[in-house]
Amino acid sequence: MRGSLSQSAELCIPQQKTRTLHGHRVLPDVIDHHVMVEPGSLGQASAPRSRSWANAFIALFLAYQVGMPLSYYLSDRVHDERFSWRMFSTVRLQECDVQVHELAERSGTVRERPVVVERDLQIAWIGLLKRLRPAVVEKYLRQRCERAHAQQVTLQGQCVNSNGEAMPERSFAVHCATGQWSTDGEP
Amino acid sequence: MTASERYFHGSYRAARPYLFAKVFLAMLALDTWMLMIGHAGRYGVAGFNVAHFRWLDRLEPVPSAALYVGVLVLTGLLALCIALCGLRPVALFALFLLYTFSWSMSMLDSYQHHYFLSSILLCMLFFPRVRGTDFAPPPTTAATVNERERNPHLVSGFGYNLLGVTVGVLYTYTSIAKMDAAWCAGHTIRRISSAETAFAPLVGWLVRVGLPAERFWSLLATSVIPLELCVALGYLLAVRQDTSERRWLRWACTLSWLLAMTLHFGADFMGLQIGWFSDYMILLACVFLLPGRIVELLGGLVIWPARFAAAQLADWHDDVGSAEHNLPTLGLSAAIAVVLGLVGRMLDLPGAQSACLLAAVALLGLTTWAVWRGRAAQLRTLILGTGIAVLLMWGAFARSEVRWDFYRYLGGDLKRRGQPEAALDAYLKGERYAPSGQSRRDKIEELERQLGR
Repeated sequence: MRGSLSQSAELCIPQQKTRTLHGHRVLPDVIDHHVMVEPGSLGQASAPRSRSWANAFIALFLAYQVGMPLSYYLSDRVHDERFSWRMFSTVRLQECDVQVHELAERSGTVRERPVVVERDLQIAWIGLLKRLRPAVVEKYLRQRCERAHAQQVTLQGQCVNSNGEAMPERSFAVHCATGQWSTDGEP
Repeated sequence: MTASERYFHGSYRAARPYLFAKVFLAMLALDTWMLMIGHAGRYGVAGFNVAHFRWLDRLEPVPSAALYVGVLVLTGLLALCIALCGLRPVALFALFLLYTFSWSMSMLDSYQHHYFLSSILLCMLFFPRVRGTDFAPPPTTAATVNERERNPHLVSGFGYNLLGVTVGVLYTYTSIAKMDAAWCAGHTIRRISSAETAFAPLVGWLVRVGLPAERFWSLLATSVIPLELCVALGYLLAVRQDTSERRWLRWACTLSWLLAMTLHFGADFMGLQIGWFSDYMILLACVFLLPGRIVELLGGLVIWPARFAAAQLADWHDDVGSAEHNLPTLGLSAAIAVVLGLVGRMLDLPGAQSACLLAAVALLGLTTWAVWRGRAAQLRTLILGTGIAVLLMWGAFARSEVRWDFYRYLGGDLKRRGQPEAALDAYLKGERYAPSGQSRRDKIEELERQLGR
């Protein structure tokens, strides 16, 4: 019998055929189950009931780990690569130029005016705006609606791929009165 | 038991989770203190923030720099305490929550590896609790190296197996992400790194022997895809390597380790700006993919300081349970609480002192509760561990440039957004921590002139 088993773990080892591990004879069940763990470890799920809970957790955890990145590939959120393990992706390397405009009424006339983003945001947020991260773009445009009393705020982004190729222009807009959000002209 | 249960609940050498937990938690503490805090000045600026999750946006709409620093100081302290005093599920869960909150409170922290570290912490909740002496008995123990090799100390706990699979999933997806024309043509790898400079001599030689430079970059970039897939497979196999009789499986794991090292040292060589991500992945590769005997040797190195400290404190621990030592235990706890408060003040960062005071109150509260329940002696390790963690924290701040980073980034941003007075304050504070030759004296003088001082 293996020498490093704890007293509690040494219980109930049935008589079975031995097999070899790293060239040494060992009992099959010893290899898989009868190992030393201090009491109280959450991961030790030897009882059938606790093993069922553990299995449920494992299934959920793995479903999330596999499903979250997969949802990126199955969706159209090209510029939101969070949680999708896209290290050094070509999307991350796109260089985008963004322009923000708002429609606001002044002296009875509705005019379009450019927005100086640098006055509103910390530079790291400007970086995220330039990556066209949808959640950041939406929140910023909505904030402009509140602060500048505009009727509509629009962001247009023109990106260039890592090989220098120009990408199609993207546009995001918020209609301030209704709160309606649209991407590339579509709600 | 089904095949999947045998896989996820299977056993492995005790040294693996032990070594991983100790080194990973120490790295996490240093990462939070020495790297992450430097960017805290971005938080709360102009009242704008977007959290990673919408519900968090409603809970904490605009986290401040002080909140971010405070959470990170506590995260680091807790991580180091757990590393020094052993894994406890409650403490690990608290660490998981704190660390996850630190990155998820704002998209300003969009490093994917921070999300990955949260996944690791969640898996660690289900690691077995292993003591160093379990796999590396003291030298006086009669067991010889050969005996230990014949009877490797195996443990089980599905967290380790789950972590192996999670890392496999990560490598698979990172590989899939590179399966596009721009990556395979080699444009991306040249842009994200200093690869062109690093490989210049090799490229020059290849061009001379007739291989076009474009072809080289394309080959290099494309080769990363199968390499990452092989490493992913290695992690899936590694979970079984300590209990399998199959020799090829252990060879496959060792080969995967070599590939993982090539990949991550290659990333470092090419100057990719990815924080400590490569270091975490190197640690994972060493723990999961190396042969068990080598991992036990490495684990033995890690426990040496702990064994030395335990020997020095043996007398003190002998009287565990003795009520007459309640007062000294309380006194020690109070002394460390005072040190926490002082260190918090010396850190000179918003939120640091509040975090340290919170930790001090928690330590005192826990000690008082333990004395009340007659368990004071059991807390001594935690109290001493906290003391060591606080001193190491001070050392990490003092040795790193994190405070310099914090104040110079803050000053630069305030100046850019037309707040010269606040910018001047930040630059003046930063000057105390400026490394040699990096003073911002010119900017300070410019701001003073602008303010008419």
